[in-house]
This record gives sequence, structure tokens and C-alpha cells, in this order.
Amino acid sequence: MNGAQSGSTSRRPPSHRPTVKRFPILFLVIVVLIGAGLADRIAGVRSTPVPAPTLAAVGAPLSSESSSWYCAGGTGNSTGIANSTVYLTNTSRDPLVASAHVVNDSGVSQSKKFVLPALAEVSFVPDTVVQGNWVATRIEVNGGGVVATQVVSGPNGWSESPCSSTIGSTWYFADGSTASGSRLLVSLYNPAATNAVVDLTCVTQQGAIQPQPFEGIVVPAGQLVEEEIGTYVQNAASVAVAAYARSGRIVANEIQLANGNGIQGVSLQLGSPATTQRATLPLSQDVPGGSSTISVFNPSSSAENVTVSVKLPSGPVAPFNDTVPAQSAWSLVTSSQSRIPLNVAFSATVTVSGGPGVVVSRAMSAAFGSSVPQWGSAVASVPSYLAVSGWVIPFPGTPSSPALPGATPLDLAVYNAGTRPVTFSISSITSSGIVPLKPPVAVRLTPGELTVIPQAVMSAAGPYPLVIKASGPVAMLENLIPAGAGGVVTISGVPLRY
Amino acid sequence: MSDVRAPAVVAVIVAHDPGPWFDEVLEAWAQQDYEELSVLVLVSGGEDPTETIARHLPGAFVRRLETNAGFGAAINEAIGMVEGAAFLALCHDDCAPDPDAVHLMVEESYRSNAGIVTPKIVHFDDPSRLLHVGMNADKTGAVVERVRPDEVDHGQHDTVRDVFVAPGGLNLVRSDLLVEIGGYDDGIVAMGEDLDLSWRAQITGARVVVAPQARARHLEGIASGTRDTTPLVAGELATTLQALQRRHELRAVLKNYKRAKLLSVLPQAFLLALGELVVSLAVGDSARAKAISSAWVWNLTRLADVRARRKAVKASRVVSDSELRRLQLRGSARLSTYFSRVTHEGLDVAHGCSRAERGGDRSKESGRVPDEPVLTGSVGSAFSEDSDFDELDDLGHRSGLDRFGRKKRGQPLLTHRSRLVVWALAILVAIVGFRGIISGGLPAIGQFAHLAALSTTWHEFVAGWQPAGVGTTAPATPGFAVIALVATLMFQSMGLAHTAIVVACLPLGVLGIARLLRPLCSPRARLTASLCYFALPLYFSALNRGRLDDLVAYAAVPWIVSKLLSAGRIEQSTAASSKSLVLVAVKLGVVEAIAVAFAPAVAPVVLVCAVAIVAGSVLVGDKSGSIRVVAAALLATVVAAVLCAPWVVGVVLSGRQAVGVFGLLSAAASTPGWADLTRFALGPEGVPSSPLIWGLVAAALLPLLIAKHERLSLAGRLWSVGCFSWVLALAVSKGWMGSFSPAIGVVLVPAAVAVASCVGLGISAFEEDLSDYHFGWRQVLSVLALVAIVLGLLPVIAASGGGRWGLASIGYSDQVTSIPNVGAPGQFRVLWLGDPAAMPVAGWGLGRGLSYATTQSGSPDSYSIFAPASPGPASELGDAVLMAMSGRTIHIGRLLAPAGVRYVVVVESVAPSIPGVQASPPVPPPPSLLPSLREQVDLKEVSAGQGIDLFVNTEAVPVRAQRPLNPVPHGSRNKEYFPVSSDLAGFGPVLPAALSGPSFSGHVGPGTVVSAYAPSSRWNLSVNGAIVKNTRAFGWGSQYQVRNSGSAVLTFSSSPLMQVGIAFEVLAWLVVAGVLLERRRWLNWWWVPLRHYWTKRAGTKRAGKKRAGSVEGGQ
Repeated sequence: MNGAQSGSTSRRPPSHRPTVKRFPILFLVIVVLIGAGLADRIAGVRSTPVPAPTLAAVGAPLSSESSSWYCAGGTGNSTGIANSTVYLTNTSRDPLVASAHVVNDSGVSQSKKFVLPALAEVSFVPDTVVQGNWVATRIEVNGGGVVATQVVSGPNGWSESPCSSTIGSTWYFADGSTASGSRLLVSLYNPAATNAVVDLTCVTQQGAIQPQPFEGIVVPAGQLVEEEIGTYVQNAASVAVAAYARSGRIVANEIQLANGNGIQGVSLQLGSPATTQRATLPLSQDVPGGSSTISVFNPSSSAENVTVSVKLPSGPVAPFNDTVPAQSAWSLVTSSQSRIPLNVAFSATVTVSGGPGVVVSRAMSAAFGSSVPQWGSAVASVPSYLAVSGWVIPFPGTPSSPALPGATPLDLAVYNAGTRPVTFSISSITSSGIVPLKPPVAVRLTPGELTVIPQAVMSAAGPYPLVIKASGPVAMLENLIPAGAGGVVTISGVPLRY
Repeated sequence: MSDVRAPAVVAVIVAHDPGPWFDEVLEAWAQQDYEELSVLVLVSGGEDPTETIARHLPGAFVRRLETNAGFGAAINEAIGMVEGAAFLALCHDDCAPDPDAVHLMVEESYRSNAGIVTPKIVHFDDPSRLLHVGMNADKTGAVVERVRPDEVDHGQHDTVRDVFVAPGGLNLVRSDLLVEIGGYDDGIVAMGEDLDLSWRAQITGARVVVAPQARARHLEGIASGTRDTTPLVAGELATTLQALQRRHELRAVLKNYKRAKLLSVLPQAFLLALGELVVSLAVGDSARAKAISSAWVWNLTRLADVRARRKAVKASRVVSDSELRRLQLRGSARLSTYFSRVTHEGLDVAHGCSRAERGGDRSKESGRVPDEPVLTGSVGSAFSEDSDFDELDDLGHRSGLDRFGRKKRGQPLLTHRSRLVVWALAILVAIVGFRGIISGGLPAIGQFAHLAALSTTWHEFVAGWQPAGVGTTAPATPGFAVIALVATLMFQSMGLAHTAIVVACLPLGVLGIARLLRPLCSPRARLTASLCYFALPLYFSALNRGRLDDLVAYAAVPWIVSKLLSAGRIEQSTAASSKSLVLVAVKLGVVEAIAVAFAPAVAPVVLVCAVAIVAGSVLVGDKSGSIRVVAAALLATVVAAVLCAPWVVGVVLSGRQAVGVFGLLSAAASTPGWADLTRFALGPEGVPSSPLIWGLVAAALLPLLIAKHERLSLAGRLWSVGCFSWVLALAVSKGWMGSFSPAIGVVLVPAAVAVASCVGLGISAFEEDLSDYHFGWRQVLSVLALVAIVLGLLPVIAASGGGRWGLASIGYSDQVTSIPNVGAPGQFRVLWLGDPAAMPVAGWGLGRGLSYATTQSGSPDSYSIFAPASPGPASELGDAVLMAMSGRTIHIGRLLAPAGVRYVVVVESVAPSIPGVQASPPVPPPPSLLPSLREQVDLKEVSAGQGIDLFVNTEAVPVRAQRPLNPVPHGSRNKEYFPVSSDLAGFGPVLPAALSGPSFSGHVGPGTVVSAYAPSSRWNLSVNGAIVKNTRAFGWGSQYQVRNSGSAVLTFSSSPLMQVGIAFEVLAWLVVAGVLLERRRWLNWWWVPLRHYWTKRAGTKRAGKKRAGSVEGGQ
């Protein structure tokens, strides 16, 4: 064979040929092949990114060149059922210039520039710029560190919700009702430069329905479209809504008006742009004569195994479990659960498995005859894993322009939603700077622990926005008054990026 | 008694340094029974044999010629010396006629009225075997034997008949005929003079007959190679007998046909020669190829001489060519003989492969081109040696039985024929797989952007300005020069050049593997290894991703590893041992330089390979050559750096960002895991990255288990290279290397080389070493490995059916051309964003999984293939994107506007996915990118093609713009500057006309002119001939305050330093080319004296120490 001839060619005579070792190189190869495979697997497990929750409202960093907020929905005239007022909290030490672009549901738009003083909260009433049945506002700021919230108020009461800092293609609302005396309105605001085409899907106890008029809703660029769900989904006690943008991107919020059985209320909810595997309701408390309901909406195409873990000050109770089929919702009336006593503050955490996640909200009503509003709802907090510098809780209005006469915080609940102990502190934003509350509030929370800052401490802070800094993921909720009971009108903390 | 006297015959014997046989020859002439015979011995140079002649032929005439100009020239001299002879018996000094030979030939001459009579020529030492019984020729002058080689003489040819050629040795020629045709052609020094003489004799009407009753023994000293022809052809390149024969055959054709006939015959001869040339090259018969080509060159350079001789032939012509044609063989003797042997005896026999290989080896050792042992007039003999002679029966057929009559077991790929068939099949698979690419071209994906015109490409290399980003004065990569050079060779067809470069990387890599294993492995093992390298998905993955760097690395790394092994003398070949380290390093440096021009990551790969070889050497316990390997790698890297000097300097000066040239890291989801790396599955679907590939990897382990000695040693080193390569690729893939993340497709090539080579070594070990073991698990493993190899080759065959190896047919150029206003050249930029693996434009990183780049006026162009190391001021664009992603701006359009960015394109896959046409798997950008862009108030998303998201910047400013308003803010280079709307308002395009190079002209009015080019003092704006002062704009751009309207020119003048750098680079290439081409002379110039000096100095030192020792001992 030729190979034999060439193969045996050697420069050195065989007697001087060094002994070639076989096993060290075999050992190396085996070690590399197996070791690298193990390293790959370990690194793969470690590097599996924890998906950051998609939050609708996140403040831009202080160093931003510019930032924007989108406040969709709200009536824009003096006789409206939910007149809109936007509150802007400037956490930076520099005055900023903001420009508000208001558009009504007729397509009329106007802009207005105004200054945001440093470390201050200012109010902006959209109907002072453009009036309309419904108005939406886009706020542009030539910097960061600003948080925007929207208050709607009317004959049925008032409600507050953060504006959106993002534009999305999907928005979910876990609860709503078109039952007698209730009105459910969804605002579809397109602040982008591209037209959007949106489908609305409503999920009732009878299943998912998509009325033809809710298909292919065209939301022109920069315009607002208001849809009353009850027009086509009538007399449904529970309606969850999903807005899907086929093209373009929008901001959506929901206004629920309740007026029946002697219960009045209004709720402004910013939609959830994505589902989540874990949501927290930091503070709930059932009152005699009132009720509370946790709504879990599964908009996905696969069933979810849902667990609602309730923790009382005395300890956890047996969790509530259910399987929520695809495109359906589950309402857990916590006030009817014997495991949860009345007049006891509790926190609830909703966890799911089996699918992409759910959207959670909570509705609460006070006793008949209490102060208006007696009913309200709130979106559950999604524990934030973002690199945030803190959370901002605006004061409900400013001293010169309160959201409602006498509007003030009732209490503040902070819940450790993480798996490690968290320390948090609370400061207030005043014209002299960001100053800690007096007496200072610096609390260490164990995982799953809830603390409630009482009204006395909150009152001491004055009519200023609060900044909460924590060493880990926390969820917070501030109960506001006037309301029939704590939890009817709430505002959650808005995270602020570094 | 009769007065009738026999016609006089003069025997003319031409002697030149005759050997011991000369006595026998002279004695044969002395014993001739022909009475009227005289003998004239012409001594043409060499020693004087007069004494010997006198001893045997005391009556012979002896004439001494001054020089040895060949047999024909000597005979021509004799024509003037001889008078009165009716015949001349023209005789070599190694040809001994039988006693009655002259007698019988004279008789036959009269009987047949022949002009030339030739006897039966038999072997000098064995008269029972025939050499010639006359010879024939075809129309192309190819001479054909009438007898088989070494045919035994049973009288089977003993019939007088006409022949076309009277073979040399002994011929009886009528004296008047010889005079009439002017004797021999003195331009034919040896080989072929008999053909020419016989042909011309027949043109004059003379018959050439063979008289088999007359017999002569012939040694055939020249034709058998025992006598050197070098003195006859001194100073000529082609000195082989085969070359002489071929050129003289062609000379005869050119001389002896009439013009009309020549015009029909010559093209046929050329085509036949061309075909034979191709076959010779295909089978590695370089001697034949040289002979064919040199024959044509030799004759074409002597056309004047040929014309003169044609006139002489024409003057003596009596017989037409058509009559002569009947005497010649029909068709092509050479071709029919070849096919006959292929049909009956196989390719190996037809090509004489084993002889060629053995001859090749010997010739390499001796440095000579091997001569054909038997040549004259023998087409068959030229192909005759058969390495598998034992397999042939008496008729030359393969029996398939051994000597005991048992059926032989097949040994695949052992014969040349079977290997050639497999190579042909592999080429067929490749052609089938490439057919769509060759016919349809390359899509504009990855680095396959459509190339500019040739002049532009050359300009890209030499210009001191690149438009990448917002423009840079960094030197361009030599890759532009390589592309331009290839395009120049491709007749300026840029598309063809581009395709050729891409396609050629596959055979280059495959041949590199064959070359790497050449010293240690059999042809069968080399073939298997090459096929394995072909079958690994690495090339196809790079092709599908449009990665030119990966493709070039695929082609270059086998040669690089081969050179590194050669530098360390690890390959153990005799040839390697004599190689100079410097020369090997220079060669390696050249390969590295070419590779680095396209794939900078090859530079670290070379060093990693060297370290891996050293590590492997330590592990196998043979550290010899380790230092040489590392030294060669370092030296080669220096050489490569010198050859790419301006670009390397530019990269180094770019500081920390320089590591970006080695590659950008894709997102974790887009990078391969260990399982993918070990089966070389880097790319999108459509690539044959089947799990069967693991079979090849497993088969590569075989030499580690069964090989011995050199094969085990080499396999150990190669596996070390593979392990290093894989681990490095994994580290890069996982992001463990930080910002240094060389292209994984480049880093992984050494592992592919190692796997393919070890498969070859496994085959070699199977052949050589397995028989040393008792039957056991090794034999079982070997069989399993062979099965795995066969299975591992299947995916590539299956993938070839698509015709494009899965490569998309439509790229992003077709998508981007749909952008509105895309036709305004040079007035806007497009910002491309996406995962580096998906980008059709080379750019810079913005963290893992995101890169950015710009193009001018839309589609990626040739500037998009290579990115400068540093983005320069274009980093502002990247910062703006990061700001948007972190929610720090909603006005990215404003931030991009100063750079003239009108469009932002986000790429989401390597190629656009078009339903029903092509599908490309997604390579998504970071999840936050698109949402953040969609939230920008000054970006408008517009409908675009599949695979891309397109945004229009509503705040865009033209690249060259003017407004009749105040100056724009200067900004600061050290502090972020955010333009506001008023800064960008009121601008319109200006200076629209593009001149050659980066220069623009047009009319300007009074106001502010801004240009979105990286600042450089080489930019000048002149208005009406007056230079306008340049100040900073927006922190990095330029603005000019124009007071009066007029015609303006914005021009960039290249730096003289850049020109010097380019000149140095070109000079360096010329020097290296000169060194490699003239290496021996170069070595003699400096290395040999230096080595002599060192040797002498070392000897002196040793002697001094010895003396000192002896003195001390004596004391």
C-alpha cells in the first residue's frame, strides 16, 4: 500500500523514536468533552434570564434627555362623569419643561407648554386645553425623573391611576362589569405616529366574545377612540377585556362606573401590557357590609393553574387554587371566604403555572351608606425586578389643586415580594429636597412580610409626594380618602429607573 | 564471376561517448556480409573511440565533430562527406545489425522501390523481444507502436509492409532522397527526428517500408533514459524525453502539412492536447502536463524557423496530404489508446498512478522532474506501468481473483480509479449544491453586500477615507485589495469575483486538509479526511449567515495548521525537515495576512493553535519542535501585521475598541451551546447540521485509540487543537471572554480541521497499525468508526439537492430599495440595528446581541463588508440607541439627525422571510429595542419587508445641508449634547453632485452649511474658490458659515501619511512575494553565510573549550 510506504516514513530511526503517550491526551479529550458540556449546562441554567416584567408605568432616569407619559381616557368637560386631571411629580433638582398634547375623541388636539418646578408636583387639567367627551394627554418632558398620574372624578366618586410610560400592542383588564347601573368604557389612545388597528375581546362568564364592531377598530395616529363595552356586551356581571393591536401600538385604560344598589364608585385602571406569573395585592381588608373580589384573567391560549396565597398578620391561610381555562377569568370573592376574617388587613399573592401568565386586579366595596365612592378597583402590583432607584407615590393633588377636597393618604402598605429580606425607607419630596419622614421610617421586611404605615405617620409627611427606596423588590399600595373604606381608592408606587 | 557490383552502401554510425556495448556494435558491422559496405563513424564530442574502432573495423573512416548537436545534425554533416554511395545506413552507436541486415535491406529497397527501409528492431540484450517493426503515426504526429511492449518475436510481424515512421536506430536511406529532403531537421536534437524524416520522405513520394527479415539489436540508450539528453538541450526548461517527443511531434505537424490541412488538424491537436492536459492535471501527472504545455510554447516561439522549413517542404512536395493521410492512423491514436486502456485495464493502468506517485516522491527528493522510462513512439507505454499488475490477467483484464483462485475482497478507495471516482462524485455534489448560487448570485445578507465597481473597490483600499459610521480616516482593510485583485482576474466582474471568493473557500479548505495529512497518510485517508471536512456544516453555516470571515477562515485554517506542524517538523516528512523556520513562518504569515484581511479573528486563532499544538506535544510526550511552532506562529503574526501594516496600525490606535474587529457577540439565545459546537451547528436551518455529524466527531477519536507512533503523535496534537478551539468557542459563546469575542465561526474552524484530520489519521491507523493488535475491541471500534464516517457524509449529500445549501435567494438590498426617496444618493444615512449575527452591515457593538452600523443612501454596499475598528463620532448613534432603550429619550430622531440618519432599520433575521419563497429563522434584537424605538415621538414606523422593521426619522437633516439661519450649536466633545427641534429646523440638502472620491459640489447660498462627516482637517469647503472656515457642529460635525452664494466644493484630500502606508504595504507584499518565489537564491544570499558563520563560530568555541580543558587537564 502506498499509505504504508508514506505512512512509515520517519525522520528518525525507529530506535530513537520517542514513546508516544496515549492516555494523557485521551484524558484531556474526555475531560474537555464532558467538562465543557457540564459547564455549558451550568452556565445555561445560571444565565437563563429572568424576564423583566413589562410594566406600564416606569419613570425615566434623571439623566434622561427627554421622557413621555401617556394618560388615556377621562372626560374633558365640567359635566363629565370622570373628569381627568394629570399630576406630574418632578423628582429632579432642575426645573423641567413639559409639553402637554391633548386630544379629544373628536380628533381635536392642542398643545401646551409649562414648567415643572424642581422637586415639586404640579397639576394639569386637560380640558383647559381641549375639551371633549373624552380626552387623552401626552406629556413630553425635556428630562427624566418625572412621574405622571391621572385622577378622574365625577358624580360617582374618584379614582387615581398612574399614566403609562409605554406604548404597547396588547392591553389587559382583569375586571369590569356591564351589569345594571354599571358602565364599562375602554379608552384606546394612539400617541404614536403610525395608525393602529385594534381588536377588543371581552371575556365574560359565558366565555370570550368579540363583537364585530370591536374588530378592526382604527385608532389613527395621535387620536383617541372610546369604546363602551356595555353597548355590545350587555348585563355581564364580570367582563375582562383584552385589546390587541393588529398593527401599530396604543395605550389603553378602563373606566368603570358603578351605580347600583346604593353603591357608587368609579375606577380608573391603566391596562396591563403583559401577563405575569406573579402578582401581589399588598393590602386588602374586608369591612362589614362590604366585599372584595380578586379577579384573575387568563387571556392566553392555555390553561393556568392559579394559586392565591393569603397572608394574615397571624400567618398564612390555606391557599385558594383553581384552574383558569384559556380565555377565561376567575373571580375569587375573598370577602366570602371564611378563612379570611373581617377587619383584618391581609396581603394576597397570585402565582400561576402552566402558561404565560395572568392579569390580576381587585375590586372592593364599602358598606352601604359610607362615603362616596363606595366601590373601586385596583390593578395588582407586579413585583419589580428593574434596576430602580426608588418608587414614587404622588400626593393626591397639590395643596393648591387637590384631587378632591380633602384628598389625602389613609395609609401605606409595603410588602416584601421577594425571597430575601428587604430594607426600605420613605422620604418626601419637598421644595427643600428629598427628606426622610419624621420620625424616620426604615423597616426591614422578611420575605412575604407586610407593613402598613399608619395615617398618622403619613399625615406628618405633609401634602408631598413620597419616595420609597428599598433594597429589593417590593410592592406598595397607598389607600386614599375620601372613600367608603380603605382600598376603594388606591394608588400604587411608580418605579423610577436609575 | 560477374561484373555486376552491388550498390554501394555507407554505414554512418554516430557515436557519442559510447559505452561498453560499442565493441559489440562495431563487431556487428564488421561481420556484415554485404560486400560494398563502407563504414563511417562520426564521433560527436566526448571521448575518442578511434582505437576501439580501429580494433574492430580497421577500414572504417572516422570523423570527429566539434560538438554534439544530436543525431540528425551529425548525419547532415555526413551527407557532404559521402560521395558515390547509393544508400546510407544511418545507425546509432548502440544498434547492432545482424550480419545479413544490410544485405536484406538493400534487397528490399529495390524490391519495394522504397526510399527508406527499416529493419525489425529487437532488444539489445534479449533479441527474442521486439522493440519496433516500423511505427505508425496519426494526424497529430502521435507515434504509435505496432508491437506491444516486450512482445516476443514469433515471426508474427515478419511481413514487408509500408509504415509511416521508420524508427531510429538503423535505417537504410537512399542517398539521393536524403539529399533531396535536406537531411534531418537539425532543430530536432533527439526524440522525433525519425518521424520527421520519414514524413518528409513520403511527401517527396518515397516509400517507407519495414523489412522484418533484416534485424538489428538496439539498446535505445536515449529513449530508455540511460543516456542523458541534457547536453543536447542545455539551457531549456523542459528537458524530459516526453517533453522532447511532444514538442518534436508538434513541430513535424507544423512543418509537414499544407496550410489548409494544417488549419484543420491544428485545432484538433490543440483540443486533444488540452484534454490530455486536464486529465494529466487531474491525476497529478505533472510531468505530462508540463510536456504538453511546453511543446506548444516551444513551437509557438519558433514560428519563424517553422515557416522557413515549411517552404523547403513545400518545394519538395510531390504527394498531397490527403494521400499521405491514408498512410496515417485514423482518429487520435493517443486518445483511442487511452480509452482502450481505461476500458480494459482501468484508470490506474492508464495513468500509471503508482509509478507517478513513486516517481513523484523520488523526483521531489532529487529535485528533478522524472523522465518517462519508455517513450519513443509509444502511446501505450506512456500510460503503461500498472501498480496493480498482479491483478491483471494475460490480457490485462482484472480477474478479481487471487493467485489461489479465490475472490478478492474489495478494498475501497485503494485504487486511483476509485479515488478519482469519489473525488468526481464529491465535486458533483458540490456543483449540484452550488448551482443556484452560481447562477443566481449571492444575496445581500451578512457580509455578502453587493460589491461596487472595480475602480471603486480599489479606491476603497487606497483612499484615506471610509464612509462607515459617519466617516473615518482609519485605513481600510486589505480585504478590499484582495477582492479587487480577484475581480481584476475575473475580468472586472465584481459579482463573479464575489461568488468565486465565496465558493472557492470550500475547495481551498478541503485541499488544505489533504495537504495537511500528505506526509503521514495514504491517499485514501487524505480523501476521507477531505470529504469529512467538506461534510462538516461549518462552511454551510457560514454561507447561510453570509459570514465572509468564517468562510475565509474555513479555507485558511487547514493551511495554517499544516504550516504550524511543518514548522515544528511534526509532520515527520523528509521534505519538512529541510524547511527553514523563517521560510515556513513567512509562508504562514502570508496565509495569515490574507485571512486576517477578511477575518481578523484568525490572528488569535493562529496563536491559539500554536499553543494547542505545544500542549498536545507535551501530552503525547514528544516536545520536539514545540519552540519552533510557537516561534513560527509569532513570526507569522508579525509578518501578517507588516503585510497589513496600515490597517493594523489603525486598529491598534483605536484603543480598547480594537477588540471589536475580532467579532461581536450575539445574544445568548442566538449563540450555540456545547452540543451545537461539537457538531459545528452554528447556522440557520437548511444547513446539514444533523446529529449524524457527531458520528464524524466520534470517528475522529479512532486514532487516539488504535494509532501508533507518528500517527498517534499527530492525532494527539490535533485533538489538543480541537479541544482548545472548542473550549474557546464555548467561552466566547457564553460571554466569558468579556468584550473579546472573536467570531465563533472562525474560532471553531481549528476544531473542524482537527476532526477531519483525525478521521484521516484514523483511516491511516486502520491501514497501518490495526494489524499489530490481536482481534478485539479495536477492530470492532474501527468498523463502527467507518460506519459513522459513511453516515456522517450523508447530510451534506442530502443538503446539496436544494442548489443553494440553504442560502437565501433574496437579501436586504431588495427590501431596502423600497424605502421612499432612497434614490437621493449621499444625502442621508440608514442606521442599521440588530443582532451582529443578523446584520447585513458590519458595525460596532452595543452590548451583547446588539450592534449598529450605517449605510449611505440605503442598501448595504461594499463599504458594509468590513467595519473600521472604531466607530469614531458614530458612537453618538450608538449612545442614542442605548438612551432610547433605557428610556432616557423619546427623541432619538433628534439625536440621530446630526448624522444625517433618515431611516432606522432593525434587522430581525439573517435574511428576509418571504412566505413561499424563503424562510429565515429569527435572530431577534434585544427585546427592549423595538418597543423603545416605537415610543420615540420622532420616529415613524413604516411598512417594510419581512425580517426588518423600518422607522423614518421625522427630524432628519440631510448629510450635507444648509439653512439660511443662524449657526447650529457647537456642542462639546466631552459632554453630551442633545439638539432640540429648533437646532434642526430649516435645513435642506446641498452639494448634491458627487465627484470622484469623497468630494461634492453644488451651489450654496448664504447661511450655515453643515456636513455630517467625522471631523478632519482634510475636509475643506470652498465657495467661489475661497476656503470657508470650519467649526464644530452638534459636538462632532462640521459647519461652515457661508456669506455669499456661489458654487461650492466640499472635498476631502487624503493624508500623505496614508499614501506612504499603502505604498509600504504594497512594497511589503512585493518583497515577500519575491522572497517566496526566489527563496533559494534569497537563502543563499544571507542564510547560508550566516549559518556557516554560526557553525564556524560554534566550532571555534568548542575547540577553544577543548583546548582549555586539555590544558587544564595537562596542568
